[in-house]
Amino acid sequence: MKNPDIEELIDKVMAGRLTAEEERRWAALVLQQPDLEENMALGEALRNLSPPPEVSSNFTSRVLEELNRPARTDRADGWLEWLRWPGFARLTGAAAVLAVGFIVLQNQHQRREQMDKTVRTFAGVVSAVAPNQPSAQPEAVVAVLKDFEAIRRLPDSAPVDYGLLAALGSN
Amino acid sequence: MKLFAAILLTLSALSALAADTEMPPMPTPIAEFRTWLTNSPADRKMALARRSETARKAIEAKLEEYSGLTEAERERRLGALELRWYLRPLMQTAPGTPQRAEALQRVPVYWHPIVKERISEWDKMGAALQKEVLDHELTMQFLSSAPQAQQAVLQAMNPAERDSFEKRAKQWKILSATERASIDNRLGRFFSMDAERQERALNGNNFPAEERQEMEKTLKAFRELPIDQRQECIESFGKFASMSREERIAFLKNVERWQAMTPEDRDKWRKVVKKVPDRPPLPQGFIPNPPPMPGQ
Repeated sequence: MKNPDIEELIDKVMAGRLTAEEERRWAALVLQQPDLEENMALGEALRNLSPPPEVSSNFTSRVLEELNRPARTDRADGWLEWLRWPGFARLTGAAAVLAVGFIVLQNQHQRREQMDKTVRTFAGVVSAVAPNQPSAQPEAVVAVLKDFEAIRRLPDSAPVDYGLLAALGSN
Repeated sequence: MKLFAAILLTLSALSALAADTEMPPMPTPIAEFRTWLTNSPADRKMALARRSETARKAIEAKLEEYSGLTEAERERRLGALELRWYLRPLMQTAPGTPQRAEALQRVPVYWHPIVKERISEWDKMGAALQKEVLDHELTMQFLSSAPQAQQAVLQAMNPAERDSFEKRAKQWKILSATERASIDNRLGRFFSMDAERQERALNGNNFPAEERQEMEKTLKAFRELPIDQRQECIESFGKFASMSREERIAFLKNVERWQAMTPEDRDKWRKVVKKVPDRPPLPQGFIPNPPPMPGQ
């Protein structure tokens, strides 16, 4: 079938004025070109649409202005988008979770380090106080700590020179 | 009657005059001995001439012994002896009595600050404890010791002894000011942990097996202490860990002395420490050098 024939046939289909013979030809044509029927349905739908709204007089100039806007403004808008709700809330939430996590970890690490130092200091004191008494060490250390003040304040161990006193007292 | 009144008036005036006249300070034989140490041999001979031969020989031997000491050690011994000389009569008088005032008048003025401080420590002990420790050598040493007892302990050490204590003192880490402030809390937390968590804390420190075994034994001993005693130990540990290098060395020396003391001696000393507050630190050289003896 020639193209002018097909176009005429399509016009008749669209006008709804087909003879029996034309009906048969149309069915054969749709079998050959299945997308023809879809195109026909699309054309029908477009025809049924309500008329487009009236366009303002400066529509074209506004479209052109929008197209000519510098690209960097677009980028800035994209970044600033994060500062608008709800992007900003998400960003703040994530930062808060990270900060709390970091503080908790840091705190745990610090406490562990301090405890290690305490244990090391304790161990140092233990071995300094009772270095040569492995079997009596725990008791010795505890005894020293219990009597800490009494030991710390022991007076100067200068021996009293009774010999000198006796020599000076005799005539 | 008039004569009687005149006698009364005269007696009263004489008594007032006697009360106003201060008793002269009593020079101690130790002060005299200190002067002989600086005298020339000829002056010494003259000073000792009136003594018996036995007494002279004994004094000369002591002069030789003391001449061989360092100046610091010599002063430490003589200063303690002299202070004891002044304190002993005062210790037998009650505070606020004329006897106390009279005994104090016999002490040279330049000794007054330290003598007054020590006798007030004695007064704080109370009658019962005073009776118990009057002849307690350690208490007498305490009352007559140099104000800087710690420095005196360090000075009395020989170099080998000092070196050995320094090595031991180095075994414990010096803590920063912030760490010192919180060590009591941290140690309290450590001891309140269950055995398993304490074990984990020990694991974190990679102690050698032997050291670790000893630590575990000590921790066990601590866990078995009543809570109040454990707390006392923790507080002591905080003070212990924050000592300066010098204090540590003196303390370790004291630990040895403490361990060699009899239980009775320790008990008496604990009572004294409980009653008498700690002495504030004083500037070095608080015991003044005595002025030259009259006639020198």
